[in-house]
Amino acid sequence: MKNIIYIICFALIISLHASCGKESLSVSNSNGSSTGGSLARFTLVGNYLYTISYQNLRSYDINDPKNPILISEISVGPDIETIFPFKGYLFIGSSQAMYLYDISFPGKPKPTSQVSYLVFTGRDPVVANDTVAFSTVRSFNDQGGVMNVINIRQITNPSIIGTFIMEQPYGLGMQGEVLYVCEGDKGLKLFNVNALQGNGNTALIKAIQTGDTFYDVIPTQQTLYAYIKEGFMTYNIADAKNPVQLARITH
Amino acid sequence: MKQFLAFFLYISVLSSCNRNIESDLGEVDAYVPTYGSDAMLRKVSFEAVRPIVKAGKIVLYNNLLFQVEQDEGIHVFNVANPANPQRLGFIKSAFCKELAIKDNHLFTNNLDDLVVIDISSLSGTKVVNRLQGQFPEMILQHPNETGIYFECPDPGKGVVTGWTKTRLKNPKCNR
Repeated sequence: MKNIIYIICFALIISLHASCGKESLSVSNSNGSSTGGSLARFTLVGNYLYTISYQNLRSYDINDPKNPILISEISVGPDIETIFPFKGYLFIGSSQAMYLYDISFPGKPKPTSQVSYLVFTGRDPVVANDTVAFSTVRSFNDQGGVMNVINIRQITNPSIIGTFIMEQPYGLGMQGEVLYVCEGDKGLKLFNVNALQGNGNTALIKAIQTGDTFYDVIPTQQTLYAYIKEGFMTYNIADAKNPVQLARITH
Repeated sequence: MKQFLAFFLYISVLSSCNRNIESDLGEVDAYVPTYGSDAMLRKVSFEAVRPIVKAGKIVLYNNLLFQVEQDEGIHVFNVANPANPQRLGFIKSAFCKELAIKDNHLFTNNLDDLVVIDISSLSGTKVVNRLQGQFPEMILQHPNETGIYFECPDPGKGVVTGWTKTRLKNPKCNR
């Protein structure tokens, strides 16, 4: 009996602390003074700019970019923090949920459904082809996480078809047959895109460790740009599987 | 056992996110806001290169790479030769977090405003439009920490740019 009461009390305290923690997490993110992750509060799709602020999604017509025109404002849900476009939809994330808005009629987002937060997170997923995408999920304390392989044949009903354990996953990008995944201070990992969709055992090509903390990548045909904690780095990826460091810009 | 239960419940309530505040606290640890001039902070300008301190998001646009300096502005680099990026300058914009570019127009936030900056000629970079108050959450109304007391911000004194820890008698705000 004594033990049970202890356990109940302990659980109660933890749950109260946990609720506080969540609030402080979302608040510190909205002030942007926490980590350097790419929390997107606005995104461009074609001739439209979409922004989020508190619970609202705003759409601006920027056909004339120097003269944005606010054309709609919609209440989405409490404490929304991130927005990214994906296959004709806007994915809008809070710490509790991920909302989907159909933007097939640009500038007039239409709510469709809510998908599991565990499938996509607040970071742009990378699309491999018509049916598969990759997305990282980092645990709240920044230690550990996974990369999910997601079936997106039905975008409003995505499902996880593979999961890879990661150390500290952040942003990711794809060029050719290679998926580049940032692993925070654990470096940059390269995966074979085909292998990720089949047997995962041989999917990892290599890990690059420079002592830097990697947050995000922009791979282009020849060059990969990496956002690191201290600035950015460039790599030659003419051979996508063998990046050669070109420059490291810090201070 | 009942005392134990009462004690744990008491602790639990203390540790929950309580925004109500007792009127007579005495002198306690608390944060006071530091203020900046609203007119100064709402000035966006193109300036000389400066060191990267709190690196943020990167955006590639043609041969230019833009990197957010969190809360301060945007570094601009020429990456035509990616082996030797050249620093071109700095777009100063207080509270900057984000950017996106379309047709030589850069969209970013300046405090809580959405601003559009013409970057077709970097030296002649200028704000061509400003939509006020589009990001109200960018204005700091409380410190990031929780479980603390602070002096409630006074909008009449300007924009809150940071918080300093000190001792205060009966602070009126907490989180």
